[in-house]
Amino acid sequence: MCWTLEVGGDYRHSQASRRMLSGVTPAYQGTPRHSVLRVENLSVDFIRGGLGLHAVRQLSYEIGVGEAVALVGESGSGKTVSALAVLRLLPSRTARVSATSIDFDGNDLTRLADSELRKLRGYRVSMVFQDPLSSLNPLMTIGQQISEVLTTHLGLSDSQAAVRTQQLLDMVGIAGHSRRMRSYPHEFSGGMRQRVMIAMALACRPALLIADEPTTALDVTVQAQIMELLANLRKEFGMAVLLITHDIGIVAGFADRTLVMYSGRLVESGPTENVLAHPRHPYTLGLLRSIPRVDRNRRGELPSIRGMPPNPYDAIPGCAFAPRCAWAIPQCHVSSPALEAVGTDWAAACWVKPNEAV
Amino acid sequence: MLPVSEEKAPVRAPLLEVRNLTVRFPLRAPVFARGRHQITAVDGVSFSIHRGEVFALVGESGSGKTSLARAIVWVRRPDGGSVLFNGVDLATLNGKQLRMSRRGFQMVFQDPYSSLDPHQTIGRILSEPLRVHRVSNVRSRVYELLTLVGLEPAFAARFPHEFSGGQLQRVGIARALALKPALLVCDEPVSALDVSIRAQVINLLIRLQRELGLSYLLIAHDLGIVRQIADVTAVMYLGKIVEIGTNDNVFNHSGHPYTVALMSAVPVPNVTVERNRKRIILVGEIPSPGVTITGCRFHTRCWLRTRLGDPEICTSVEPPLEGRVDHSIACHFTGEVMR
Amino acid sequence: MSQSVIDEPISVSRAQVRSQRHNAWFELILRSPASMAGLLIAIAAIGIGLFANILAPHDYAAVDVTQRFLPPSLGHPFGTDEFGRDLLSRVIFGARTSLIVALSSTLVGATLGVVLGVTAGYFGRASDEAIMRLMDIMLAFPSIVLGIALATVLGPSISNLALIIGFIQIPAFARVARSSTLVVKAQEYVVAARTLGQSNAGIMIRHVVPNILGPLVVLASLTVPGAIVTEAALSFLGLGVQPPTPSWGNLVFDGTRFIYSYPLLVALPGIVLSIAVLGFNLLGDGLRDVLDPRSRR
Repeated sequence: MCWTLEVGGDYRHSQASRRMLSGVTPAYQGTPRHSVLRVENLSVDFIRGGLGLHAVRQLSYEIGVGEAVALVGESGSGKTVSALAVLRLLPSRTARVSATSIDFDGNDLTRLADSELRKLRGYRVSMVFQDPLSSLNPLMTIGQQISEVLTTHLGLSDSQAAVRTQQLLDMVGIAGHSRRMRSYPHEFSGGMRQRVMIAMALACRPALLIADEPTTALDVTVQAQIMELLANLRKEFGMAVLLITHDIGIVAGFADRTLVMYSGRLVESGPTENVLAHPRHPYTLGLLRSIPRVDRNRRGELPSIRGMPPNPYDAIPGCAFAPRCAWAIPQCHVSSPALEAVGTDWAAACWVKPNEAV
Repeated sequence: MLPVSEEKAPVRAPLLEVRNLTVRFPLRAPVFARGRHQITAVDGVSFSIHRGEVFALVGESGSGKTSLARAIVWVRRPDGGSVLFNGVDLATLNGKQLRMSRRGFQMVFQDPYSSLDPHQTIGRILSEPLRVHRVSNVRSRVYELLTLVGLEPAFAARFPHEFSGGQLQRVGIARALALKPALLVCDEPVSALDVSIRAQVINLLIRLQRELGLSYLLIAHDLGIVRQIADVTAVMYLGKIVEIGTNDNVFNHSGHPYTVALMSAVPVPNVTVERNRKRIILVGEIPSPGVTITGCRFHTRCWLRTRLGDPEICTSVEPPLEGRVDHSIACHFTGEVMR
Repeated sequence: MSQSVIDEPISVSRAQVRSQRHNAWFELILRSPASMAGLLIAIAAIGIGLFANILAPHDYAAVDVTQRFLPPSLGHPFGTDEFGRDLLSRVIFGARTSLIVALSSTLVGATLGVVLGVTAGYFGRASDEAIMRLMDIMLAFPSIVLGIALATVLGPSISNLALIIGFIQIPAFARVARSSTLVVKAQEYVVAARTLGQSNAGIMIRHVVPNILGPLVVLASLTVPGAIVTEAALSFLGLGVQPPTPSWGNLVFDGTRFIYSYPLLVALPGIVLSIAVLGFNLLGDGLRDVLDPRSRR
């Protein structure tokens, strides 16, 4: 029973050693990562009314055991679609998913039968979404919904499940359980609902939690609470977290590594510290420079990225960011750059790779 | 229901003056429950905006900032207090006069998709204010407006669904500028837009403000944007202003525990900064405006109150908004905040 | 205030893709066989009514007592009635009468219903209460009883029939118009129009009505068959279209007298009536599927 599983000691160790080294260079390089999820060459196309839309192109990434990875991108960048594709949650009628391999926890998800995959979802990997109200059943009490996860996935009896539900609510900071357990979702505030979603997601101690814009619908003060909760629970459970967000601000305090997507492609990936302080892709750089900062006395106009994200239906021969890029050279409009290492465990997909600090 | 303003316009009146504004919403109670309950969304708010000034109103959802904006642009009559535009109390105007004075203050909405009529072309949308106010040369004005906000005149023939959010927000801004107003009320003007588009629209607003000498009432929850462009900032909590002052004062010398917590909750995209920041994480969420809170309205979540060992005054006496002209705070222990 | 204040104009790249959506509803109608059939039947019925004098092989009122009760033949495809009049010609001209009544009554009902419904929904409060309770009262009477009562008072004529049936339809249109108005009223573009100084009438005409047309078109197409049936019922009762002018209703009525001896006199106009009603219903359902996203799968 997964609840009683002890967290492997090697995670804490690797985490500690990484943190020790992280000031200068990340703990390791290349492949010898002990990964919980490894995605290779994931592509997703949507077919709509005879038009093909490339939502995700040739995406490869890896999430280490217990690692927090942020996937950053704006709407239409393919960040959510790529995560849904990994878990085979896209409608098969309109979405074409292809990948060389998707290795999760020792299973190749590209070959796994639907029934096997269903067992993994909610058990070894679970998701938290942006809108907790629509993810919760309005006609069931909070207690019933959490217990349901426990009884179906873990085969607990009703009374065992009730005890666990209380523990889970405790864990996510919801006090006064007996009354809370009998409440319905609409009686909870947005932040409380998101806590319930997290409790449900963590019910089986998953190896990976995918949090898709978990705080976008929340106020900043509540966002801070939820992000702190997620960070604490990650440490406590030793689980890996894939944080999908459009807000590059929230990754700084949370993610070990940051992946930046633009127009369906990974444009930069690396240790959060490096990517945020000294990005090597013009999009990352432009984005970071254009964000008004609350910690700076800066006034007047912002250095903005010109133009707008490309239409996903358009075929772009070169780099998708080239039309908006201040550093673009003729080559950028012709051929698309591949991810190229710019440091330890750090890569950018750019022909120019400007070397400027934010 | 509204107090009649008897005074004449002062000589150097502020562009907009809001006095003791109150907005209530009826809460439909069950039939058997006695009486009719009300929610006070805006609870006696006063401030003024001068010509050429960018005034920011900051608050989380439920703070009443949107209700306040709607009352100021007079699409919802306030339940108390008054709004003076150019020294004239809007409550004293008849329908025709009000329509005329509307030329002076216009609004930019949060969601460009729902604030533009999907059945009208961009040209028709932009010409509506011109036709209502019988401005001549509608066509050339529409082209001029489109150019002003950085769009091509040819867009006039297209429908809203053909555009992206950023472009539509430019149309929304152009519509608000059509009547050459002096004040623009911008309700979360960029929060519905893609991240890489936000800076463009903010810059457009900054340039328009500078070039046309506009005043803004900027309503936002994003403190970064407010810090970037506002001259004066007011922080709202549960229908009241808890801190107001020049941007420098509010951001660099915050005097209300809520302002401090709000600022510390805004994430900064830099690992070193995040690591070394002092974080104040508030407990709980903003209470529902239907709940009556005695004493300071922030006391249920106040970190300072906890630190000071729960002083009795916080739960019994509501602190008034007081201080200097350029910085007022509603807290009994504002000295402790600055420490 | 004319200078451009932007780095560069933005191109209109995603426009091409999105504008394809514009004529999509028509495509959807074409794709569904049932709604396509409905559309064809409705067009055919209206065409027959429109060109009745060209299509009809005989004068619908030409009496010939030597030719009574003829069975269908080449000269008289539907046979003849008790006065020796050509039944097919009468059915064709009956289409004209029935459709004039059905369409004009729907127009009357829709116009008045929309005015009342939009007013109620837009202003709310007292006017909403007053208008909608009035509609409830109208709905409390069975429509056929209301129709009979009004027809008795006003007297039978085609224009009165259209007015009466239109009157009966008012509550249905008012309700749909009101609820759609409530949705549109909450949209920010309505608030925006108010901040621009647009008058209430201007907002209702320019913003509310165009945005509630979808559900109203659906309702109208579903109302037409009901109106045809009501017209038939009133004519059947002798309160509608008066002889010798044929309508589908009084053709069936006249035929019933000979239902045992010459059943075709009832059956043929009845079948045509049923097909037309079915056609408008199918069209209405198809339009609803297309225009109302909630019923889309």
